[in-house]
Amino acid sequence: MKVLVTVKEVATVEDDFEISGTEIEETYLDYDLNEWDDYAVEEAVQLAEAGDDVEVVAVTIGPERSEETIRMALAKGADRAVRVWDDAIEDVELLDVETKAELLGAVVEEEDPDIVLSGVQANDDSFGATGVALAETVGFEWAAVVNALDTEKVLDEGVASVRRELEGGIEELTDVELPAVLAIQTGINEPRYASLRGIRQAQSKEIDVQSLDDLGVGADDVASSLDVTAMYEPETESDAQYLEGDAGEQAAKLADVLREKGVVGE
Amino acid sequence: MSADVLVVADHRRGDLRDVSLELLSAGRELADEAGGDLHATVISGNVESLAEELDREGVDRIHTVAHGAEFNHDVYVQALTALAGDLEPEFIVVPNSVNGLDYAPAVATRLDRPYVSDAVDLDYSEGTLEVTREMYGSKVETTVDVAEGPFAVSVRGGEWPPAEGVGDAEITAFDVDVDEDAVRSKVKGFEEVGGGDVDIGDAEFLVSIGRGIEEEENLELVEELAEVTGATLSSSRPIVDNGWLPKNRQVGQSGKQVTPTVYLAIGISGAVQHVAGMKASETIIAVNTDPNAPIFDIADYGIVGDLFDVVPALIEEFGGEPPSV
Amino acid sequence: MPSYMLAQAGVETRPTFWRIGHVGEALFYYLAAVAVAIFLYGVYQRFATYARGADDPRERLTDLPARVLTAAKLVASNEKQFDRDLYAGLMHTFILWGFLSLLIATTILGIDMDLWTLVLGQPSFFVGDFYLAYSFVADAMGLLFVVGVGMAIYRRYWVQYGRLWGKHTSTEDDLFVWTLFLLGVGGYLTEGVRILGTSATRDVSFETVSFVGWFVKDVLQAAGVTPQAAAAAYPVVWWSHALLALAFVASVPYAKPFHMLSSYANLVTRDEDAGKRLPRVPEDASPEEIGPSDIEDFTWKQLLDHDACTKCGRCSSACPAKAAGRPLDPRDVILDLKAYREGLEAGDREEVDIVADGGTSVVDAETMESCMSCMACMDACPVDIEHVTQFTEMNRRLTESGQMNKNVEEAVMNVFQKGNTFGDPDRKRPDWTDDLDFEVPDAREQSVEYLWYVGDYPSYDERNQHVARSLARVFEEAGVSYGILYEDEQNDGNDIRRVGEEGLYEMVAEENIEAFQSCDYENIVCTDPHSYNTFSNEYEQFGFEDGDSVYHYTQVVENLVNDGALGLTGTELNDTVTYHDPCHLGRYNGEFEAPREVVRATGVTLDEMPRNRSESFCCGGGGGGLWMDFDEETKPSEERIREALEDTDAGPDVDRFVVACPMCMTMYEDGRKTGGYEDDIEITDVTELLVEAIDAKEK
Ligand SMILES: Cc1cc2nc3c(=O)[nH]c(=O)nc-3n(C[C@H](O)[C@H](O)[C@H](O)COP(=O)(O)OP(=O)(O)OC[C@H]3O[C@@H](n4cnc5c(N)ncnc54)[C@H](O)[C@@H]3O)c2cc1C
Ligand code: SF4
Ligand code: SF4
Repeated sequence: MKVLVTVKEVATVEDDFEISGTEIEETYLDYDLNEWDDYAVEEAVQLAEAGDDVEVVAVTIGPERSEETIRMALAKGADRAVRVWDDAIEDVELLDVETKAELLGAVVEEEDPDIVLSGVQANDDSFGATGVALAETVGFEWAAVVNALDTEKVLDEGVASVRRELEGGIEELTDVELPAVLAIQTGINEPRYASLRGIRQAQSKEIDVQSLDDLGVGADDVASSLDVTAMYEPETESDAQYLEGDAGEQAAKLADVLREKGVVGE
Repeated sequence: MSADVLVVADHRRGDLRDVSLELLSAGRELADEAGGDLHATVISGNVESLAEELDREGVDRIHTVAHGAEFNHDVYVQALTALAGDLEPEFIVVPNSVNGLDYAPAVATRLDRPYVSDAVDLDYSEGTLEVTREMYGSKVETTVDVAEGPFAVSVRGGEWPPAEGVGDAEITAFDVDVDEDAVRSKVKGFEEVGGGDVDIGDAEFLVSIGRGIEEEENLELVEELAEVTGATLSSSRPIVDNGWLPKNRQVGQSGKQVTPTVYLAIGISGAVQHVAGMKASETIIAVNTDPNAPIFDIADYGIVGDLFDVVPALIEEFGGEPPSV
Repeated sequence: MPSYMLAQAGVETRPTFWRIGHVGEALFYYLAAVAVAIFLYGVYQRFATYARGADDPRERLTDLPARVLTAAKLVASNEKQFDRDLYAGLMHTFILWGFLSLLIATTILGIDMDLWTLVLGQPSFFVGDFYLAYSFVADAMGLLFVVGVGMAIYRRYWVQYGRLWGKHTSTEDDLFVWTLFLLGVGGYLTEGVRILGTSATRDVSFETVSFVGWFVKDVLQAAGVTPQAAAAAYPVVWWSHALLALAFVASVPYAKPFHMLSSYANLVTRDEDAGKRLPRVPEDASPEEIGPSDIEDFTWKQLLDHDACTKCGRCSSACPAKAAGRPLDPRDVILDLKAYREGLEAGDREEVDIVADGGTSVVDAETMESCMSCMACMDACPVDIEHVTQFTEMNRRLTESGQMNKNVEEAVMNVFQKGNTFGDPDRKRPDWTDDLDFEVPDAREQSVEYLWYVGDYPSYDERNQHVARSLARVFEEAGVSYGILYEDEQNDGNDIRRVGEEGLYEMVAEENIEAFQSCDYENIVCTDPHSYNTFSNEYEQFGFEDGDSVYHYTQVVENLVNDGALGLTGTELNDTVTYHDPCHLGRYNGEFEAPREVVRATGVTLDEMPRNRSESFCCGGGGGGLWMDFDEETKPSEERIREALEDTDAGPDVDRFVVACPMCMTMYEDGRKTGGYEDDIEITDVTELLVEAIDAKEK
């Protein structure tokens, strides 16, 4: 059995930052494994641990820097990784969902996995669409916002028996035929810690870099239909009344508000 | 292609979800800008009565697809592909709901339309759709131009007013020959989770804690605050994901919707999925170190400060003794 | 059979094997041979177990004669037993020397009988003056022995002394003391009965030199025992004594008496740097191979450690984690490991993880997380067991198996991603210098005498930034040539290593060394004793060659003060203060006086904490304690402030609690708040005190 897990290195922004043009200045960015993907990787590794002969392949679209992050996935237990990158991709400011699905789709065709795990969304662009679009591109079945997966049924019956987390504390119980893409929600498991030794050792695991040529994708196909025209800090629409002073004063004022609203006894 | 707009209603267990009416408003704006009609569709369930509810001012046509009782993304994808083939709308507008996440990207892909999700504003002129959306966890807003239609977008709930009034839309049944072989997922049921000891939905005063609390052990601090003020403790999602509080304490899109008299948000950034669950509270008070945190946008009172200073002081205000954390 | 008596009137000696007979004598020799064989086999088995242990990364057998000698000195002086406990020191000294004397005495007698007279056919030298002197000394030392054992019994059973009783206290402990007691007392009884018995046939007045035996004889006589009855009872008494002695010899390797050998061996093979210099893991070791998964993964020395433990409980009674109610008892950890190994060998325990989260392992994850790496246990242990090394290795196992404590994980991830435990951008590292009215020199751009490694807390933590600024002022004031690394500094790794994230430690060590090497400097000075420890003791493992020119700032400042560079008269301040020795400066690296010198130079009155210098009690921040949260009865920091205000001579008049470590600062500022001491005492760093003195001088 083969599990493909899509991972993304996302940029996180410091509390104070500056924007230049349509981008946040590089100094204020840190890079990390996307939170949702961390759970997807853990789920994949748990599948591998529960079954015999389950191969976990991590795939990402990202520049060389992202290998650092991919190594985390390898250290946590992925067997090998594929990194898709190309100058033509580098030139695109904001990759659209279609392109990501196309690129990952090419990897899926090559790898032929039984199940693909992705995250519900990426912390940075928050499209929340790549997994499902990928499924449609390669003709897999899918489920989005999965917060429970029956590992045994995947291994024994070839069915992904999942729970989808709907709004308002309701979960949908769904059986999905394999092959399928599952977009994993946070909280589905407890992602493990990858030790630095583990990450260093993951250096010896293979990261296969695939260019557009390798994947048989044309440069035109990656041209984005999206053009970022502006980026700014959202102006606050706040009409909040700010309680000023040091912590003690703030607390005193807040206590007055609470008393006034009649929600505290006394 | 026509200049029409097709919006897809969201419903669950027989009820239309609020966001559906907001979609109509968003759709109407686009239709006006593009000079087309506004179509709405409702798929699966008791489509007739849902269609009637959808019939608000400004809706031109409603297409009902009667197939199955509940949401199934395979059915949605087939129905919408067929409907889009028929209507050729310039815009397909769907909600950025959990179900929207489940079918919209597939529909867009099948129809070969560029897809932009989670719009908070839409603007169409001269063949270009400008989508306003947030990035980096609401830290920044961006405008994105999609150069070439036809388009598919999902919109964020709560950003457009719900469409009002009674409309005079033409309601027609749209027949879809659903290929059952292609329906490869099966919904087996629903389960309500997060019941248990307390119902935060009933509380008059909620002290709600977010990732700002940093460590599980520090929860003692807000527990003590809740104790001395007689409040009920709730939280944002990450606290529940970490297993620090049970699921029944989670406020937000995938947790509980709450409407207390006072909602005191401590160390919560105010992500859209969280706000969805508490914005209807009577009074919202936010404590956060980051003056730019989106939670302040919806707060009535704000304290820019460190919860580890403010909360102990507040406990003392109410005669309690702050635990050492 | 009085006629067998070799003793004739006028020859002062005593009859050996009196009334035992040839058969009895032969039987005794046979039994003795059996006992020795059992003893040897047991010892062999034990050492064979150690031989099966993993290799130890430290050289422990080089220069063996010197090691044997040093260990012998340690044992002979009993200095470790006297440490923190006079009673135990005396007790152990009495028993040890009493036991050794009796052993030597018996050996001399054996030589006379079996070698000298039997084999060599010489006339016995066990006569006359020699005999008299021998008897006197043996009786005196034997008395010491009995008194020592009596003291042990009194403390163990009468006083029920806390540290002697623990989870692993068992019948072997009872057997050990009582056997020693019976051996001692039985010896005198045998002697008394013999003197009384032989008095029937000869003049025994010379036996008064055996004053205890004589006393026993008198008592027996007074009780109405006749010489004839004594003679008749003698064989029974003698055999009882002899059999007990042989049984004891045979049992040595199988129970607590084995510490006579294992503890000594442990002292011989000790590592002076243990704890302050942790072992590396092999370059090519994969995560699965790091830290002990099975008992075989412990090194031979660690297995010996387990066997060397005497259950004295000194480690546990010194342990701040235990005192604070954390789920850690260092003695129990050592003995749990030993019991697990013995259980496996005996086939009555299943194989389980050595350390894991979840409660089924030999040692629980939480237990290991509780350790503050303060080294108090190792300092207190009389037999030099290396707890901290083993505990760190178990932490490594937890890390590599993904079971690291979540709070620690966050701090560790921050170091990995941002180079500091705060998760703040490295760009902000030098921000603390902003409020100074002078520019802090950049050591990357100019050559300096002192490369100042500021450290995480002084760079990012508000309270400690004040310490950093104070130190900068001192350097400026004294005209020191110094400079900092600005954003090229990274977490020192000392505590990262101690929580078991060795891979990350390797990374920061290498990068810090690189940063040092890109500068032109003579010495390195650290604000934080943790940095000082790891730079001077551990970075060498990664190719850093200047370990000897690393200083803690108090050492540098002491020189400035002594040279008069700060122009202090020693009358500037007049507070009463007490000083807390940071583990990493004091117990780890033996620097006790420099900070005290500096403190005194400001004019304050220094009132010592009762637990000071090497007996200092950790603030609770070491070993990652700063990043974790525990359910503690009383936090170590609160306990320490209480000690300052209640147990010092000045008591509540102590105005300040002086520290010399940023972690201590953080922990005590916290303990002062949570313990409700905010109005009673201030926490001040040594440099802050100094700056105040400078300011006072200028006024
Ligand atoms: C499909 C889906 C469903 C979701 N459903 C929900 C849901 O139902 N409920 C929900 O809550 N989330 C939900 N989320 C997650 C949501 O997107 C956010 O990730 C989450 O709400 C963030 O929680 P937070 O505000 O506690 O944490 P963060 O966004 O990390 O914010 C922490 C805040 O604490 C502040 N802070 C830090 N330290 C301090 C201090 N010492 N004092 C004061 N303030 C401090 C910071 O400035 C920050 O603003 C969902 C996400 C998805 C994709
Ligand atoms: S190092 Fe300190 S905390 Fe750890 S076991 Fe030893 S005495 Fe206890
Ligand atoms: S480890 Fe050392 S100090 Fe602790 S009980 Fe054993 S012998 Fe005593």
